[in-house]
Amino acid sequence: MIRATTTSVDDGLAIEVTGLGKTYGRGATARPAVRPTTLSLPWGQVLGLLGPNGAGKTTLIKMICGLVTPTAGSVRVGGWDLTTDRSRAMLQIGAVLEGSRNVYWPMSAWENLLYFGRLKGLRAAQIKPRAEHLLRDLDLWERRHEQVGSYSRGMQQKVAVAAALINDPPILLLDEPTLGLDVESALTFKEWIARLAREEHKTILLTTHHLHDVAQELADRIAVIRSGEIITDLPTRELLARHAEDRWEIRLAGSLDHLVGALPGGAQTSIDHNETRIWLPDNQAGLYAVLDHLRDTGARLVSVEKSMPSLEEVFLRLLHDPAAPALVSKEATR
Amino acid sequence: MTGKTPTPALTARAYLAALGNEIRKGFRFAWAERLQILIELPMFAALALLLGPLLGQGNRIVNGSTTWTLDSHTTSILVMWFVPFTFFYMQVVKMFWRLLAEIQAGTIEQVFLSPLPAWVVVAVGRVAAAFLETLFVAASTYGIVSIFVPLQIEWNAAALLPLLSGALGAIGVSLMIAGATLVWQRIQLVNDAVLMVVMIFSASALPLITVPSWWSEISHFLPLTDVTGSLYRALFTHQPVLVAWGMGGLVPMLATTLGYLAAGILAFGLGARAAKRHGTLGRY
Repeated sequence: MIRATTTSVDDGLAIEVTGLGKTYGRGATARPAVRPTTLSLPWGQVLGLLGPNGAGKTTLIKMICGLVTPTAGSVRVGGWDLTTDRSRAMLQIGAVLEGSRNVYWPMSAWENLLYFGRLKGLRAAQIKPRAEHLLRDLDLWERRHEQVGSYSRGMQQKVAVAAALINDPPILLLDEPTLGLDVESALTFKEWIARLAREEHKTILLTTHHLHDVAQELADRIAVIRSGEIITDLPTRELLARHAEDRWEIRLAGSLDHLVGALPGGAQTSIDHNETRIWLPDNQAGLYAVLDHLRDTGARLVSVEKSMPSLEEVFLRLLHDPAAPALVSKEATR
Repeated sequence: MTGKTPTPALTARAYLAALGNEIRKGFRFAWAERLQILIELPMFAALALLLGPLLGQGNRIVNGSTTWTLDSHTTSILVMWFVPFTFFYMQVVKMFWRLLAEIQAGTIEQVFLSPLPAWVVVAVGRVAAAFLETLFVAASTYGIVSIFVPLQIEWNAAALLPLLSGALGAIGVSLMIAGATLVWQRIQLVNDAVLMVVMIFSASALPLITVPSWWSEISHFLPLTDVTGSLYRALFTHQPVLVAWGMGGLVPMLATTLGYLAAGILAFGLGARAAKRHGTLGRY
């Protein structure tokens, strides 16, 4: 594999954001888009940056890659200060931005990769093997000479990510990479991103509205931004564990409607064709009583575990509860 | 304090590769617009042919005694005037519309993610493409017009100096327009007005019309006037182009050229900074 730089993973941080803030307008019309934020991302980690529309995700990402000038704070990328060592910092980053084509539609995938490779300072001899590797990996090799405008949305997005990776940067910024993709394309895309993270150890900062499918499965860490402020920044498992509810979840095989009447007060059920779910308050005696009853009726038990909320539930809880405590790990403020 | 990843500085070779890249892209888009250029082509020739009998004939037009004949000398001067203006037009117009297209598509943000200075990347490809397009348009205009009227332009290598000067001035103006486009986007009327003013005032360098002295003085401050004057001097009068002052003089020509080039680089930098400050770099 060819790299544009001799970048190596050291014991520093891939991204280091210190007091970074952005306010549009002045005086009475001042509108803070991102409040002063301190955030760090170790090498090889995938950070999911979540938030509703207008929360400041895109502004934060664009400040990290130098496309929006902050009103406060600083950014270091691969140890290089974005203001004083812009060229070197830029060589560390590949970015796919939201609402943007990112690549030239009148040009072919092959032409785009050559173009963006040279734009990053590579020579053709360095770019071609890398471009072939990426296009084969993305199943675009056979159609490499077709105009990108003739591709499906999913294929176009693949070319955009390939272009961002053409110089093999160690850091990838992905702003809504699955936006507008159909289910199958989004799945393929997600698997590819997962491979980049696990096998090529890319450091990835990712924003997405696909919380369960993309963020929960890909991100080692989740940061939630609300009204320009990061209100939560924790490892994904820890975030979910902190919001684990004091109740039990029992999963049974099959659709067992007849059980509903026999359950104690406070129990909730969800029944579909293949599975029945029962949630019970955290009461050991009540749990055993229900399990005894299930055994007597011959119900086939699948699992019994402490109920874990989905990332979507946690996200909504954080957003809609103004009193939600700020949960920030040591890593985030290191 | 974090350790820095060992990243070498970009070499001159990387810069050259990136510049070649932009030139290639410029040609690629120019080729994609070949139909548009072919449609525009007869317009340039028609304008030269129509202006021929009219330019400097204000009194006759008012008296209703215009002679609709094509004079070889006048038309030759008009065609000569068209060459630098065509380059200016191609450079400024193509820069504006292609930049606007990149802003609309969002690819401009990826260009700004390059480790190279944005003004180099944005400007250079357009210059080379505009140069090639101008050669084609100028040659075709010459060919079409000469079907109707014989042209008498004697080539002189001294003409390369005003041509180069005109090209650099056009790059400067196009960078100014580009900087403004990054900030305000919808400035096509400003763009058209600039082209019109430059065209009208540069005509004062030709011995075909009479203009007031204030008009003549003002026209020195515009990028093509002295270029046109110097070109006329080289191709039609056989006088040396290395004359310091007067219409087409070396001093006003180089001063305006370098002034516009420097102002263009500065304006583009300021425009890019303002767009980044306002967060509107890729927003239309």
